[in-house]
Amino acid sequence: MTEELTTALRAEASRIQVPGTPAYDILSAGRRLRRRRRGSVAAAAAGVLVAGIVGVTAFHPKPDTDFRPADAGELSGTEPTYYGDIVRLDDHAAATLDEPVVALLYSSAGALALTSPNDTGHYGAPYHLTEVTADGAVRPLGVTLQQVWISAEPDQPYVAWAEPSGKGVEVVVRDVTSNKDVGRVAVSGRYPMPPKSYAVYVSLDGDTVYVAAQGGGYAVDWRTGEVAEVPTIRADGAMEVHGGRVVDLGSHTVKAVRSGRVVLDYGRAPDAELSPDGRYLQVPGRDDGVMHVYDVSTGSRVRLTTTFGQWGWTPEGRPFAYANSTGHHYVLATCDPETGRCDRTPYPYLGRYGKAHPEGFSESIGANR
Amino acid sequence: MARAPSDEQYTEFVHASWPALYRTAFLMLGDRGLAEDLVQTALAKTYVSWGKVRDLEAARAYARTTMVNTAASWFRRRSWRNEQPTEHVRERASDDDPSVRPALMEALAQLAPRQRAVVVLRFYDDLSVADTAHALGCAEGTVKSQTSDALARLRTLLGEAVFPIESGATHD
Repeated sequence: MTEELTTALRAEASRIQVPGTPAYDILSAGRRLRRRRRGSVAAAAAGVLVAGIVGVTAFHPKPDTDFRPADAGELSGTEPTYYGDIVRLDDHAAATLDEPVVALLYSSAGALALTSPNDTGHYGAPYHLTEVTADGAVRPLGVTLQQVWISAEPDQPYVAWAEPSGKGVEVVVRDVTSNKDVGRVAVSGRYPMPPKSYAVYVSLDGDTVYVAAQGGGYAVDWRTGEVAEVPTIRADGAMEVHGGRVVDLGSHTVKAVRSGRVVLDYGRAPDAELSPDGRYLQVPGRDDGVMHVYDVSTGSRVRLTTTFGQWGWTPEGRPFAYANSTGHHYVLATCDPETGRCDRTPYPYLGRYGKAHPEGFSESIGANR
Repeated sequence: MARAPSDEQYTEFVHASWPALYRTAFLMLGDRGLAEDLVQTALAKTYVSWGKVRDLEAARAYARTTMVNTAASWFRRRSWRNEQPTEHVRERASDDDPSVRPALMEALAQLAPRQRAVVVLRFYDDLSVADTAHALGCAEGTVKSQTSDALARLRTLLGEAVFPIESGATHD
């Protein structure tokens, strides 16, 4: 029987009309998922020390019995997180946006949510920018984007992106507080529209917006309008510049972005992420749940471990992990990048604010299972 | 491949992998929209985990395992069966693709989700019991019992004319 079944299945499969490959959407989804895993959740250090966190190098979750289901009032001091179309401001308040959130960034003016009306898995443009203030006010900025790459810094009130301008590319910097553009600078190259799959990546670092386009890499002084070529920046993938430093995944190094000088060689690893100020570097270990944190200037490192979860950087430059201790109990651990000492806080199950989502909770924060 | 993929490299991989993954997904789910969602999700996850796979062949295998893992997580949702009534699935399959012979697809739709996945993985993708168990996140014994149950059900639904009773060698 099984041979006949195999024959029948293959005959059916040959008759299936396969739709065209949505490569652009998939690439965008992959980048967005990568961003989400690398720090969509951020936590201000609540200063809550849970007994049992010991050692210079390790963080281990406490047994399940130490945690109770999250109640309002137990938790404090968390930065906004998102789930579905909800931006959760703290354990008491959440803001509902008009569309599902695909990324959350932090500026000094407040959280910036990038949303998309496509929430069925067919992710893609257009994207919209919305400011969410600490008191829960939701303010659309009236910005529509064709690509998911925007950039902001937690200590500045600006957000930067690239958009088409005629036949070229223009870098835009907007002041979130006034909702006015404060810089517009043209750079070389053509803006890729779908179905082209490559993107124009931007990274805001102080007064400079670094741009990676098919035409090359550039440093744009958005206040003066000066544009300089930067060979260190490649347009073959996402890049982020922090504190004048950039990670070169191909050579496993951190480089000074302008000069290309190698500042740190962190060895063979699949990924690496700089802290917002560029001082420290997270590098996942060979085993799941292991994260190394390097001091980029000195090369010294500490080793952090947890069961599994999402790692990222707080706006203040502390490594953190959002992990499922066991069952439905979640913890948010924020660590000292120099000592490896971690403070761990019970964290609410974000699913209670959101709707069911087909992806498992290991892929998106707090999904219902 | 110890680095994030270049856009060109990854896009090439997506184009090469999409048709085969879509066919498997459609056979497993019987719905075009769900199949597209599933494959898109799996390929996006593969992008994130690119550094963990050693070459393109491993990337394809990783994408398929991720796809099946994701489908299995969908099946575990309590509401899954309520959301996918078999009559609705049959209607969609025939509306979307009139060239697909309804009998086999209708029969697959009568199987429990995991049984259907086992049938597709073992007899279309030609995976071993061990690989099927790994992809679905279950024990090998479960795969064997699910296979047996599914074949019995298909024989009932499709008749001996299509699947004659035979003795002798098993598939794996």
